[in-house]
Amino acid sequence: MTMANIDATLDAAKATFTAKRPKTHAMHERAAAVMPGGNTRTVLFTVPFPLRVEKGEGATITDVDGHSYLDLLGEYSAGIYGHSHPRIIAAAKAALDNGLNFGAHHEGEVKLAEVVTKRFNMDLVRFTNSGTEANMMALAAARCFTGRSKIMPMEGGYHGGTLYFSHGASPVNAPFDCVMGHFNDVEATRKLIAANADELAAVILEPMLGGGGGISASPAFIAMLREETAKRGIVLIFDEVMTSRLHPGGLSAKLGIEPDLKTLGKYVGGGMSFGAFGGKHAIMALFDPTNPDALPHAGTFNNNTLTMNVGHVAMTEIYTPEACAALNARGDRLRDTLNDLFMRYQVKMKAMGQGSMVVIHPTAGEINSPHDIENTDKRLRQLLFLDLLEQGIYIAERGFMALSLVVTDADCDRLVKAVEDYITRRRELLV
Amino acid sequence: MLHQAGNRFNAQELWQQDRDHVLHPYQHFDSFKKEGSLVLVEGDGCYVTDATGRRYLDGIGGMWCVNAGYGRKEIAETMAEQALQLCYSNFFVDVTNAPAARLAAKLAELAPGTLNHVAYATSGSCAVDTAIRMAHFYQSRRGQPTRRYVISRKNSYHGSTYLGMTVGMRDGDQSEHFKYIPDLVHHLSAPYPYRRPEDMSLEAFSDFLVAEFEAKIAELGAENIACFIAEPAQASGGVTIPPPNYLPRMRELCTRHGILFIADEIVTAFGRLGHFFASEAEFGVIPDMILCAKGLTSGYIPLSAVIFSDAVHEGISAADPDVWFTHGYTYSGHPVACAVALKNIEIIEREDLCGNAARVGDYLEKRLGELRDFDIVGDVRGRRLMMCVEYVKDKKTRARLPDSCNISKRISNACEADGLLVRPIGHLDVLSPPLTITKEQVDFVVDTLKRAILKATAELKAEGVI
Repeated sequence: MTMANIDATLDAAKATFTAKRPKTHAMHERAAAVMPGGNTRTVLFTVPFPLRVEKGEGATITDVDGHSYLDLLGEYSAGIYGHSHPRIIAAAKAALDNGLNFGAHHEGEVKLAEVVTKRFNMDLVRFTNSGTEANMMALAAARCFTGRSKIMPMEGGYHGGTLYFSHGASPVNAPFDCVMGHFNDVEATRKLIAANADELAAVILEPMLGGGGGISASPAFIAMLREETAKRGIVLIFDEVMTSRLHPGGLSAKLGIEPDLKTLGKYVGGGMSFGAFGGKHAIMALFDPTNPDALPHAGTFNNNTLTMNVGHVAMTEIYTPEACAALNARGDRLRDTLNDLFMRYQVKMKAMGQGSMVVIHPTAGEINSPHDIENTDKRLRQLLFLDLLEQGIYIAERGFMALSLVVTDADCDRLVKAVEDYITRRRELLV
Repeated sequence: MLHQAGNRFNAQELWQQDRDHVLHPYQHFDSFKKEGSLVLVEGDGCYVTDATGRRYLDGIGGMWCVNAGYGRKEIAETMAEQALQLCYSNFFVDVTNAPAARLAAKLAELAPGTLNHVAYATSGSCAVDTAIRMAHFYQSRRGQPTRRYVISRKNSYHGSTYLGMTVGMRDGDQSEHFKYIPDLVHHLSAPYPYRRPEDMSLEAFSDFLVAEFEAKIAELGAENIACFIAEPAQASGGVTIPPPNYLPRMRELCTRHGILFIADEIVTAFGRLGHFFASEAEFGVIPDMILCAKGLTSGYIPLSAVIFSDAVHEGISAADPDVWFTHGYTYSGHPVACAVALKNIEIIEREDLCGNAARVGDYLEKRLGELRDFDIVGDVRGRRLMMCVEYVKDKKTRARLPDSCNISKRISNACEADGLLVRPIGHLDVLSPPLTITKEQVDFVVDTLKRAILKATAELKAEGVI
């Protein structure tokens, strides 16, 4: 058997996927009657139709057709505790038993704010319902604080559904006036900042592009941004919604460079809906309602009792600094092993990311900016995704993985063997 | 054609054919009946691929031999061109061919001192046989026919022919089922610093070894000794680097007593230690003969050579109308093999593979050194791209693990499962990768070996062995 081409191989993989999932297919049809494309979160759509999960336990998810998978997607980094952590469940039960959402302040938000500000080195923090909201609020705060209107995100950056800058800007983006920075291009970006200095309110970036492919900002790039923004009174915002899990104090602590504001989300709420923005006192104090000119910050669920209480337990008892270090060490080992595998087979594949976040790309070249992965073959990402599903492993179609605390070394070995099997079967398409 | 291994070959059928019909070198019947062979079908660079499509970094370099790496198209093309032009030529008495003549001149240029003459053979074993016969012939021709004894050393390996096995002496080869040639070879102690007597300095160990040779010469009589044969760094006998100044002092004794010094460089020549030949460049001795094979053609085709000095040549070719050197093989000076060797040497020079072996080999030494901290690692030794790890039960006493643990095979199996081939020999795992290996590949080798050793250590603890 020789493989004619990628399309034929992918078609065969799709057909195999479809044939084994009649119930999933039927539920997809049902969903499509009431939701556009049967989908209510774009990133979860995969070809030929997405999985429908019936149950999750530990690191395992089971679809409606009864197939079980090792879950290495880890809910795009939010699912760090696995699907059934007993301490999370107990904390959620306790919070529910104590009464759902009071329409009033309570101790839970104080406790979580104390933990979050200390761990992530913020003077003051505010909670939101999602990372998107946190980033929207941080940018708004920067604009009010500086009295300037423009913001500088990076080309290829992602800060939520309304702040998405891949291939230009998403049509559903919030209508900010943007000057696009060039990720990891020190001199070009320095010039852009200088040229727009009087109008720029904020520079925002993830210190490692998460959804953008696990591409780390170089220390020189980060240092330049810190230097230029400090010099020119521009607010530097690190979106640490994903990257805060990569080091006990977040990626900024690992880099040793502090922004003016940072945003959080994903796992910090213990798996509940969560977002936060915080940082320097002078900026955050703008929201102090004891001040007659205070900026408003609304949100029915900002201090919902479930998130606040479960988040506190999660950050103090489960994702401790020690657990964080161990998880990221496991991810580093996995990434090294995968890259060794790709080197050994000399295939055009590369594992990027840091610590517990691993992203597999179908290219062998240097990857320093989103441009470097722009022209990679999406079909090869889809093929890897489908082939791994066949072997009972679930990752993101784009190659993204975020290890949860219940993923073991044996699970990592299982992934490596499955990827090796993919490579030996598909090698002609990958060299 | 490449990269189809998993699809093009019937892995099961090949495995079965091999198991049913092949007797391998050093076959271990008991395990072979159960496990059969790993069926390799492709190679490129430092990698080989088995019939199921699994790829391995070949940390063994074939058998210490694929120095230029696998899959060299220009070597394959050279083979094809030479086979079409002249696939074979009689090489006896006074007939030659172009590649054999050119290669001899090239080897004379590369070899140290006055080693300007070449006798070809087809394997390292045959080169050893040729060298011993030439030593006897030389001593007799210069009027000393009583010089018959060969001085060798324990832990040495000099080939698998009847004579080769007599000359070498590794523990594992001393099978009760074989009887070797009597009253020909005397074996001195191995220059094995790790297992030298306790409380003896390296310098004192060197003194001891040299004194032992002197005593042996006194016992047998120099007039009865033809030659001393030594691998400058013993290879499969333990990958041992001799103590400082040992080889120059042995050379000096040979010179003083009219004993030929034969350097078996079958493993060390052609770059493995960072030089075309290691005798002079690495160990400061100019032998009377150097034996080479393996890296001479990077394993693409069998070929070996005995490179010998002007003085030996003058001795054996001294005027006498009735004398013939009645030695040689049908395939001596084979034109295709010699053409491959020339192309191989051209590649080693053009790509500075000796330089790469030196640079990356130094890095391999450094990284492998990290293994010394592990409980069951007694010693990490060797030089550059000729390295080994020796396992022990007790680091202090250097006591070995029980043979039943099969420690080196256990670890090599774990490496193989992770895509790395290392060679288990006794209580050692040996590394001799292609000279093209990169630092990144060295990192893979060391990290994989580390994981395998940790796994084996955990198993041994669980089994109550340590």
